Amino acid sequence: MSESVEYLRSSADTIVALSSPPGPAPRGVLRLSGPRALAIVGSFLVRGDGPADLADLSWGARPAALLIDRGTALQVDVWVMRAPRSYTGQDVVELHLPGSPALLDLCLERFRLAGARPALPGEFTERAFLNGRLDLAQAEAVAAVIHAESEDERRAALTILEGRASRELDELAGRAKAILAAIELDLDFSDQDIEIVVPETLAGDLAALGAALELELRRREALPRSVLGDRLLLVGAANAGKSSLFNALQDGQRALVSELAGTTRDYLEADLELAGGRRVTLVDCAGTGHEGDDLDAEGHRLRERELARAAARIEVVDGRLGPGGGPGAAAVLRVATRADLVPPAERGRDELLWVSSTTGEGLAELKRALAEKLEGRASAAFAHLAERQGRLLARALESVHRAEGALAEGLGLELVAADLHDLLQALRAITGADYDDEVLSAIMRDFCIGK
Amino acid sequence: MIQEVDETRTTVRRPDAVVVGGGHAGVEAARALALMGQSCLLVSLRRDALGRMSCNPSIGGLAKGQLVRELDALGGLMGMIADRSALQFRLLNASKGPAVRSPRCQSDNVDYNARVVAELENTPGLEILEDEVVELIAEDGRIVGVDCARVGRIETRVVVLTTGTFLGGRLHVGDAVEIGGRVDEPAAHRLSASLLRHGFRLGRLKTGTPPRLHRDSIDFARMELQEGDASPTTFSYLPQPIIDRQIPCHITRTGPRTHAIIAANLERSAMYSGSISGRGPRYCPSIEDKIHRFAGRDSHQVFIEPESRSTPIYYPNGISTSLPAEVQEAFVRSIPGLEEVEILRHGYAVEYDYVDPTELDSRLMTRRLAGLFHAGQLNGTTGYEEAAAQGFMAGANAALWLRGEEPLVLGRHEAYIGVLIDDLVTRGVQEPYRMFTSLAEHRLLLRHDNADLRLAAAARRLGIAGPERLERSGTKRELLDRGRRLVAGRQRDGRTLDRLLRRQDARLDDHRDLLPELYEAPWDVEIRTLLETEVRYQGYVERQHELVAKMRKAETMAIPAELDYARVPQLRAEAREKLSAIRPRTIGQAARISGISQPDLSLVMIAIRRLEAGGSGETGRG
Repeated sequence: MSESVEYLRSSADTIVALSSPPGPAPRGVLRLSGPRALAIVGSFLVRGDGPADLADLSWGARPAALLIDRGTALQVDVWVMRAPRSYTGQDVVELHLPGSPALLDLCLERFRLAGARPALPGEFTERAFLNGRLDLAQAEAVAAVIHAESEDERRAALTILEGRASRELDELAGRAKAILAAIELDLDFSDQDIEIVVPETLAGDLAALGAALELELRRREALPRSVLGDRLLLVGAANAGKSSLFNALQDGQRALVSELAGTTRDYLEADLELAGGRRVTLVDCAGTGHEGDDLDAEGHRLRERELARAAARIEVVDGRLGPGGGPGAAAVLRVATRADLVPPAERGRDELLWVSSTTGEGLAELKRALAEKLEGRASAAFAHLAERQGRLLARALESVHRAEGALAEGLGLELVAADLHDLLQALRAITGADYDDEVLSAIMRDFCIGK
Repeated sequence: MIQEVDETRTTVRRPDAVVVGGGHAGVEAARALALMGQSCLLVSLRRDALGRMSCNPSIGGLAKGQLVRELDALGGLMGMIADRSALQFRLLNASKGPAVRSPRCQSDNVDYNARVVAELENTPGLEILEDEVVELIAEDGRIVGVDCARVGRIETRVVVLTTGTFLGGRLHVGDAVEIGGRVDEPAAHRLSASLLRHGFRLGRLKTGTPPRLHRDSIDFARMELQEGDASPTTFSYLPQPIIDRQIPCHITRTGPRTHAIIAANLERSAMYSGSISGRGPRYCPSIEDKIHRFAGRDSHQVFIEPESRSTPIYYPNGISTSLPAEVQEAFVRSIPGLEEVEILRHGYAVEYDYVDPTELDSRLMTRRLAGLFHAGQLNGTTGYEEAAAQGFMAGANAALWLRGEEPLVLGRHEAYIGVLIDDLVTRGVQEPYRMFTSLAEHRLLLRHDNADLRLAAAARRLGIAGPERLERSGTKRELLDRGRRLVAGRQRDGRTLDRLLRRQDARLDDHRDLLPELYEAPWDVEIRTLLETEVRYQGYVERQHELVAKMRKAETMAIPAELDYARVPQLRAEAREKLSAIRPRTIGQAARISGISQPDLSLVMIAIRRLEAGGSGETGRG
């Protein structure tokens, strides 16, 4: 109770948390949200001779040096997302830095001493919700998958929020309701001269419903790979060769290219199979770039979403120009294009993966390297989401099978009805279309409310 | 007809409670109040009309039969009177599963009415006054009395309104309209105005009744015979004197000629001429409604039901109508067996006022005026059973309220009565509300065969049911539990009997050799049937219990009365309005309000937590 009271008083606190999965990793992400986020991070930055001022950075990312210990400057990427166009609706600063747990802990401690309070579980999402950045349906979806704040989970939530899943489920629920209506009519109006349910068609209807549910369940089982699959974002300067690479990587595969209607910027995505059969979605967001890119509001919004959803970024640089001022740190891979125009001798010692979209050089290596980088990243959040939905779908399917059994054994239509009600409840629990204890408890648990 | 009442006596001038109306809701309410030790004055326009059956001469039916059994388990009057005044018993849905089987009886409506009057006259603490209540008197939001047309002011702390179809009642036969709540009975009009003055929202509903027929003019030989059950399923858990001879019903059908007559005169029906503004029940349509809406059907069933042993009146169930008298005569005589029929009283439609039941809390008390309870058709329901159940609960809760005790609110998993009241106070009504088994999400638990077991604790608390019922339900529970253990413990061919009995075609009687105890006293066929049912549905019942447990978590999540929905940020306007008007007690109840979504609930829960944490319920903005 006291914790909750304290939290209430300090809703204008600036909070900080590790937002990448805990444990050793190549990169770690620290996120701050609140009115003092910029000031706190700014006080640790060195640029050239003195402390940097983040005030001039309205929205975007840039590389910087972070002075964590006397004399030790860390190379980091600083992402600034200003209120209200951030995940939480407040000023948000993200630091992408080497993923050593000890280092991350040290940074957390430094920020805490500088006035940032460690975030309670789910507190970023709660702020997003309270500031109207997520509507409640979205916040719920987040709550359903959040156990600890992480990028993966946020991505998974954002993916459900697109509502693709709900339509099929609504359709299935509609079919179940139609069957149920006939049964209820038969049970409640048997004193009138109506004959509604014909058992043969009922058996057929139940079988068809079962088959549809099974299909849906199988689709869900493939969910983490195909539907919620990792999104890889190509980032880099406009002339770095991203689009050519995007096209070259689809070589031989039927590209699933879509242009999102209603956006002012083009946005391309394609299904890509990596070495080992892992499927990812490659995204070429033309607006993606760094500070200085002239982005309009729509471009910002689009890029913010894509950055949030992306499992990883691939930095693309023009091989003829070299790595130059690219930030690199946030990317899982750095790719140099136009290898055909740069002889190996001139390629320097940078850890760049050289590719040519013209000759195909390096493309296979790129796919292999990506598969390696993503190995083991099949995120807990996806698994959690898929598990929850899969479990409920399995319950729905079990209900149909039970209903079929009850009908076959002549157990009585009221039992068939009970099974169908059970099925509907399972479906509603997935979409959140109806009251469900599980979602409510998830909210209470994950939004640090009521502790 | 008016019996002398000493109008100076305290019970009359200053009773603890006044019940307005003597229909099925009013008599249960008054009796419950009196039996719970509160002096009660029942004010009715006509003393001899107490418990009168205005429409069907029958009690029970699908889902309604369960209501009556529950009412009886709690100590209500209806089941006992129905058993004693029955003409015929039938268990409906007998070919279907136990959960949807419902007892129903044809009633002798003269006998029923007389027994109710006698019962109330002999209830200590209950006084009956023939008068019209014309005004509700309130001070500081509390009921302090009523004004009667004849005897003037009566001081009281509780008023239970059960006005049925009498509030603003108008009767329609064709284009003829008269003021009244029932044929030949006056309506209560000034009370509607009083309710409006107190700020209540009133709506109009309508219902209808068929013409009544003379027995001796009916040719029963041309109809299908429908006998009662050989072994009657009665309503009361206390054994009642069994009627000696059942009277059969008959079935006939309308035909193309009937339909042609009605179709040709459709615009002369009160309902179609636009003179009725209220909404009627879709599931109990008038015959003109059926012809209009189901134009493809060339025949509808008509049950020819006896009304009484002491009158020659028959009730043709299925042809309620508000067509002009001569059209009624023409179409009725086109029905096989009714060619020469004499109509004793024409059918009519009645329109009446109801008060939006979302004005009520779960004990059926209005939020507007403390001490004012509403029950029965006034709340937008239809049916004697629905009315009686509400009347009883309103009376019992009024008594608990007077005593300063916790209300008795039955859960949706405990009783159809709980479903009924919860539906009314959270969802309101759009048309006359009738009980259906499909309205109960825990239908498999809410059977007619176990109402006494389900409601034993509630019955004990109220103290109306009497020791014999409680003793019987206690014994039944014990025998059932012992039976369950026996069945689980005995085996045939290496399998326990409870496994074998889960098959639909398996019968307990097939295993009599292994369970000889069950065939000796005190075991009887009722308990054996119940045992068979419980064993067969074990899996389903367990799943329903799981759901109940889940639901109860939400039901126990209380919403503080002081929560100000206007200050819950981001709540949609519709949700804000509904929640403020209905003021659900728990999150579970809020969830059942139509149009309240999961996101709305989440916002409310967050506001509750903040309130509990000492805040204002408002969520801050970062």
